[in-house]
Amino acid sequence: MARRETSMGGAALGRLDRSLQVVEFVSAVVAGVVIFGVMWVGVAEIFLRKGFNSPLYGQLDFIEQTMALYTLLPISYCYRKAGHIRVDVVAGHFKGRGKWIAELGASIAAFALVVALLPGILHFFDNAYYIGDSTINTQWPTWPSKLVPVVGFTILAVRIALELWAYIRLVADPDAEPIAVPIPAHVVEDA
Amino acid sequence: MEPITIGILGMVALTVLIISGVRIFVAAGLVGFVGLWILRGFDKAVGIAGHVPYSDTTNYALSVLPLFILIGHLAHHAGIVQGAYRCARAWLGWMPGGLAVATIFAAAGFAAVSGASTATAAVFSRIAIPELLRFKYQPGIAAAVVAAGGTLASLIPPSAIMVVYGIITETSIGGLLLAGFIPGLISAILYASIIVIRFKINPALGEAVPGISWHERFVTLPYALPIVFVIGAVIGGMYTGWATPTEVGALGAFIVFVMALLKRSLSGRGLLDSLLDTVKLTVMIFSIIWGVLIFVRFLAFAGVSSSFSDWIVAIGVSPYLVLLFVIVLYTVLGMFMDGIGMLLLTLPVIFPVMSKLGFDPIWFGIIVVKMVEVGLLTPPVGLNCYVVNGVRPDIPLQQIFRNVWPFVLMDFACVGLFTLFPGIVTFLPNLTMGSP
Repeated sequence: MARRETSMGGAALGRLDRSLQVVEFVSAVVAGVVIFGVMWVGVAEIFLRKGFNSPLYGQLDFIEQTMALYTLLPISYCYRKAGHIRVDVVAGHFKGRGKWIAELGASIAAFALVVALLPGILHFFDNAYYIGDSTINTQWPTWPSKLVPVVGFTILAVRIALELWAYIRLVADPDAEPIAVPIPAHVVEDA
Repeated sequence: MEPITIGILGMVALTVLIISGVRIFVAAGLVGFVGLWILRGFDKAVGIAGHVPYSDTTNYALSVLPLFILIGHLAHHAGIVQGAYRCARAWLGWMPGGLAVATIFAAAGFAAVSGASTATAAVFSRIAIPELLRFKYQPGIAAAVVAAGGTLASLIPPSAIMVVYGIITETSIGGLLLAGFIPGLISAILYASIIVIRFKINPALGEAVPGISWHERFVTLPYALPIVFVIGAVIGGMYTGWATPTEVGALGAFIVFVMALLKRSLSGRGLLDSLLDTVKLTVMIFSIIWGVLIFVRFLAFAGVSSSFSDWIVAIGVSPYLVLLFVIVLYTVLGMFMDGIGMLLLTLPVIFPVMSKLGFDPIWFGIIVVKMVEVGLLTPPVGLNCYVVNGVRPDIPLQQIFRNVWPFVLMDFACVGLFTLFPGIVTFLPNLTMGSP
């Protein structure tokens, strides 16, 4: 049976998915560059402290304040790449519509979590912004760093919303081409 | 309903969600949130759960994790594996099952520049299996050797899983990393011994590598240099305490990066891929960390962990019986779950018990990581066997699982050995940090 790409807005879904993937890719590149930067900061700190007895000013605050850029910002990138661990001992046995219903259930759970967390995350940023919270040593404001999870989780919310649409479409028409769903990447790719 | 009952129901709900295929970080975070809502009200739940992802992940001590992961990915691109393999082959190829022994020790060497077991198994599947097959090794054995060798990355520092254990139990990460070195080496030696024994009994399992001259051997030594440097940086840094784990991770990644540049083996594309792979694994691990920590907050309010450990201590069973139970539990869980998920989900309850029973936190960490290694090999979800099968679909999974059990047996032998002689594990960290 030919696979239908256009059923239930498949084409629009595909376009949205590709646009969001660009955003996710950018978030991952930012995260990667920051990790690479932390490597240089770490080496510079050893070199300056051991070699010249003058530790790098603010390196500890820099490392802590940039951490959210790789721990939380690219969360949706990992999600789209099927990077988040799950146990598919049971779900893996389903085929056709049953499989898509199981996937839809997992997506609904993920969406519920993100919706539950977003207000608290937003409030946490809001607080830091209005109080004018800052780091202890360098007196840098902490709100830019606390804005990062707001951005990361918003991207994830959009991603899972798309995924819900994608799985509802597949439940309705199990033979349609899977669009905008993480193709369970080969474990090897993770490695 | 009593808080403790709600806590236990929460644990049941978590198990059901995970088995039904919900991502681990989602299951833990969601059950934790709902539990907090029931116990503390909606507003408190939003407040607590909303700040955990940021507050509990942006902590300097955790910044070592992406760097350890980066070392492995860069090392892969820097061609360090091929070098290590050539060197190990030249020196160990003469033994019965020599090429398999060489694979184990090359994997141990690569483990010293890699924090992730699956990465090591994937890399060696591409490099070692073709060689092993060329020398007529049975495909199942070749694949099993690679899968088992890969697990060594969990014990030998730098190790991502060890850092995760340190975070969740608040145990010294430096101490854990030091402690893993000797047990990692012993594991490699035991793996090699079982290979030698099997090939001595049945030489038809694979051909020997024909005579290698001493000249050839010495020529390969420089290939092992990057590994020696990184081991020197990690062990030296931790041992003398002149650098934090993060700085050691940065230095290790830097050394491998420079080596790759010198060898001209790292392209811009390779660097970007290494970074993106690092990001994916990093954010995956951190997601589980904060998801589970939301769940742990809920367990704390429900009083599950403390009641459980009080109860175990009160019934007065032998600590070693409890340890045996924990080992059996991890053996079973490891058959179905990924190691990091398994640790994060169980340690909040199990670790307080073990520490109340008087087990050394660093020693217990090594035992737990060893059990994670077992879980990487045992069916039906032995991740490393899947990884090898993923690279070599021509070698059936069943065949790999059938040949992997001697290594699993050696893993249990290690656990027994470390339990009988805990000094093997605690010797190095005690030397530097003083006896606890």
